[in-house]
Amino acid sequence: MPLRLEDTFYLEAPLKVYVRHKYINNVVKTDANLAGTNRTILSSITLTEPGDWKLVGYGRFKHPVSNGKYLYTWIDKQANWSITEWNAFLGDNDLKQTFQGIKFENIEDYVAIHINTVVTISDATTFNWSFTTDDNTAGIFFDTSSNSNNPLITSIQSQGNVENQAHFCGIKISS
Amino acid sequence: MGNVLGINISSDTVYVRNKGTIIDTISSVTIYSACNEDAIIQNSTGWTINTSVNSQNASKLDVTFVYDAGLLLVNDLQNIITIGLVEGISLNVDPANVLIHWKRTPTGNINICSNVETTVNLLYTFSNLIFNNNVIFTSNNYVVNFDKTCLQDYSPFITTISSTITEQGHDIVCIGSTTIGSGTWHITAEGGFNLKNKKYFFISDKAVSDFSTLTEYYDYIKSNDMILSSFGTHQIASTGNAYPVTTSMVYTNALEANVIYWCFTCESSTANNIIFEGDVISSNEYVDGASNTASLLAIRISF
Repeated sequence: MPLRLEDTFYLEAPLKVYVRHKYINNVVKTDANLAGTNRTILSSITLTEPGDWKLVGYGRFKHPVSNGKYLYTWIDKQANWSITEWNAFLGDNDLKQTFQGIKFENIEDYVAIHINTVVTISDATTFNWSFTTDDNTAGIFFDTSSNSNNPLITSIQSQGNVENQAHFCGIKISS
Repeated sequence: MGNVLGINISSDTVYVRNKGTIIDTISSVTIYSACNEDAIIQNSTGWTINTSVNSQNASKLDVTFVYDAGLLLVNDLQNIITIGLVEGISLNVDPANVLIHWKRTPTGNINICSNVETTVNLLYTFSNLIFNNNVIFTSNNYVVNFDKTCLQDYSPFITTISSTITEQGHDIVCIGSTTIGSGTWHITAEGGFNLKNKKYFFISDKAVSDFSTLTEYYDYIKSNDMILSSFGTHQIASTGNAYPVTTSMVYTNALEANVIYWCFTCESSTANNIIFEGDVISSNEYVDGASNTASLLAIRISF
């Protein structure tokens, strides 16, 4: 029965409230390529319920070009990669704070990236976990699988699965 | 503080005040079994008094203070407003069990609160974070004091790891574990490790020892999308490094209790380096010898 606050009610025992947080989780299982200094969207999620959401992205990334190059990452909701939309992103306090730059020392490195923020939405909104670099070259920066001698990894690969997955999720934290 | 009904234990004065924005108006307040039948009861200016014999104790009176202007706005009220005096109220009212009815408007519904909590200065709160089993009731919302109200036997769980961790080639090394309950969980494991040798970190709800053979373990892992979503390849080519590792997944568990393991295995079958020191070795005398910590955190996001 819905609790209506204008009703008379009396709590005789401790109230038990079980919270079911809505969540959207997008697991990335395919390689992703940089597009030079353009934007590459690794993953997008669309949140449909108004309220406050925590956005979280986890993954391990490489730089495909050369040592000492940066990978830049952030969460945005821009449909296109243009100066106008980039400036709109920079004007969004909740999202611009997600921007981070990671410098790679070796091509072999897989660097863990963790990105998160809290956003408030009033209607359905799509968020992108985006990447770019300071080098005008394309190449794989999210490498889901490679040749391996490890028996667990080869077993995983034999099933058609990959051993390096990322996820981008939204967890609703309040209405 | 919220809105309060206060009773001065020395003078038997009854008053209201608002130090928050919990409710916006008060029209009347009824205190049950407030006093004896022959008690002296006085109202302050702006308030009227109604009394009736208590239904469960004929020797006691229920006392209602009604704001005679119809509606007392309390949004901005910071000072105490004395509403009257009830002789002997401090002797008759048990703070732990006092029953109060109040109305927000003259024609509004009665709101009831009981078991209101008190503070040392005998402020009887009736719309407060800590009243009525830890729920705030406001004019347009209710808020739960999550920690005190919700039964969260399994949430959150955090395990800290400060023991030395060593690579064991292709073997599965368990860094740490935690036990979680049923529901959907966001699990994150974090720590700083030497990543010179390529490694694969993951979270699993089974240990190798749960199976008769390694092949059975591999078959279980490779067919479990939730477990696979946690898999991450880690490698930092520079020598002697210590880099952060985060392993995470959204995990749904139907069992009442289940052990979650944070594990890794190496690409090299001969890898055998220490990748995590239990104690910090540093030229900084403050941190030298401190426990180095990795953690495994599970937060339930849905039951």
